[in-house]
Amino acid sequence: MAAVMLEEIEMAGQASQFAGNKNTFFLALRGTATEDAEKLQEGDVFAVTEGVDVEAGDLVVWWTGVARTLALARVAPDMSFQGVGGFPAPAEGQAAKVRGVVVGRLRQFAPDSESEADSET
Amino acid sequence: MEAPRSVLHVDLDAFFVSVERVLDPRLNGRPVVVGGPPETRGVVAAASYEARQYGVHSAMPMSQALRLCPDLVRVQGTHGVYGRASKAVFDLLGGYTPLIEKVSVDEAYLDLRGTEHLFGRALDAADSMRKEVKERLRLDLTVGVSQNRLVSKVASGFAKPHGLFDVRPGQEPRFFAPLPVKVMPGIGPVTQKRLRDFHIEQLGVLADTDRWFLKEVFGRYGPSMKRRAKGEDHTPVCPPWERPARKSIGHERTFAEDTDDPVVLRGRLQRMLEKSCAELREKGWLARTISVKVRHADFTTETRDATLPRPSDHDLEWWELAQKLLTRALGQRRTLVRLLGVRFSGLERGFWQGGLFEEERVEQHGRLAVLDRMRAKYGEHTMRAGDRLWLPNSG
Repeated sequence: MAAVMLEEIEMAGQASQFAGNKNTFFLALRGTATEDAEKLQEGDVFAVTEGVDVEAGDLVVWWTGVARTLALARVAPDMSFQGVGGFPAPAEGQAAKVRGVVVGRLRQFAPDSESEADSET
Repeated sequence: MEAPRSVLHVDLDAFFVSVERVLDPRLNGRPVVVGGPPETRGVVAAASYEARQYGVHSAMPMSQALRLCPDLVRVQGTHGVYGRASKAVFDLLGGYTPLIEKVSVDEAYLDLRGTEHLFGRALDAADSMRKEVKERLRLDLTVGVSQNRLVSKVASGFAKPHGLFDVRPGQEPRFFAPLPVKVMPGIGPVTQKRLRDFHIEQLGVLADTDRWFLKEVFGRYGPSMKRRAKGEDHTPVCPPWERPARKSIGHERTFAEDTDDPVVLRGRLQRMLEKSCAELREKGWLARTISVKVRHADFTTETRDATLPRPSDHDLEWWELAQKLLTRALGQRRTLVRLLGVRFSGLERGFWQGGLFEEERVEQHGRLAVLDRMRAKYGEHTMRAGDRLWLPNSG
């Protein structure tokens, strides 16, 4: 089983304003990512736009071709895909099918345990 | 070419309520508002997220808030504490960059350019700030990260509460494209309606709309709206020492009892205008634009503004215009007025100079300077215009 995976989720709150636009969807990162320049963290939510051109430097979501799983990759200057955070890069000769480009990342923090403990006292 | 910026918009979540919860942890987890009592027409200054679930929000009359949420806990507010808490937060953030522009007690923009070697990427610095504020001050910070103020402001709105939203460099137009036009700062209900009339409901559509068409419909704001809809904004983050002046100056007043008496409205408007002009003269500022705001008893608000051909701090130059704006703001409405306000903007440093053939105006300006000195020495109510002699001194 992969150490990291992407799970499509529905957004609530302010971010739900994206809803209704079928070109934008959200993916949550599950599992522990490998430490690299992207510094992915479990729970990070990626806002992804479908149906747009891919450019060098973009972070993209692509179909791995295995059991409908998605992976993250950074687009190198030569337009090759480099895996990030422990996600695989396409195998040599594999034509990666892009699902969308990451436009932003949401990191939400749980209310702290200290306040909850205080409220019980 | 200008180097790419990393601009953060930081916003303290439900700030007044959060400070009160630090002072009294028994408030945690309960629907809480800070504000005046309903008996004195108090309004909600801040509401906790628990209270917001009942539809309670800032600026709502306290009586209405209590009706919506009977278990609501009202806290009067602790004078002086919020300012100290705010200072503590922004002093701490000052350790990350000196380029901080505080826009309110709980909100600021930070420019992180040149700090990468100390704190890493903007996302990492933002993460670190949030943790430090939480650990040291027990307050929650929401952060929007991007290359400019506009996009960071919108991004922080999506991260609330206690979150962080990082828009990837170069993705600003795609981030904005699906969003409703109302999320963009500066697009109010009137502009939204006008845009809707032309079937422009998303920022992506606005960004693709013809520039000349927008100019025709919205005047000089049209092309700027188009640029902003693409996520473009070059406004610098201005720390206090770089700021030319305040953006505006003005006063507003909620009447003890709603009124539609034109004498009361005119008198109050004149008093606020005189006070504002005196402040302009005291600071050595001139204003280009005046706005008159009227809030009706049903809470609908009308604002009308006008610009003089030359900047001024002269009461009498503004007074005629202010009366016209009041008439326009009142319109044909039959409702009573709850609040009246006047505001000067387009401020610049300078002193008023009359024209060659404006002897009377120049003399009047001289008399205003004398009045300013008398009021400073003997009190604001020493001298007043004849048509508002009846106004109580406390008003």
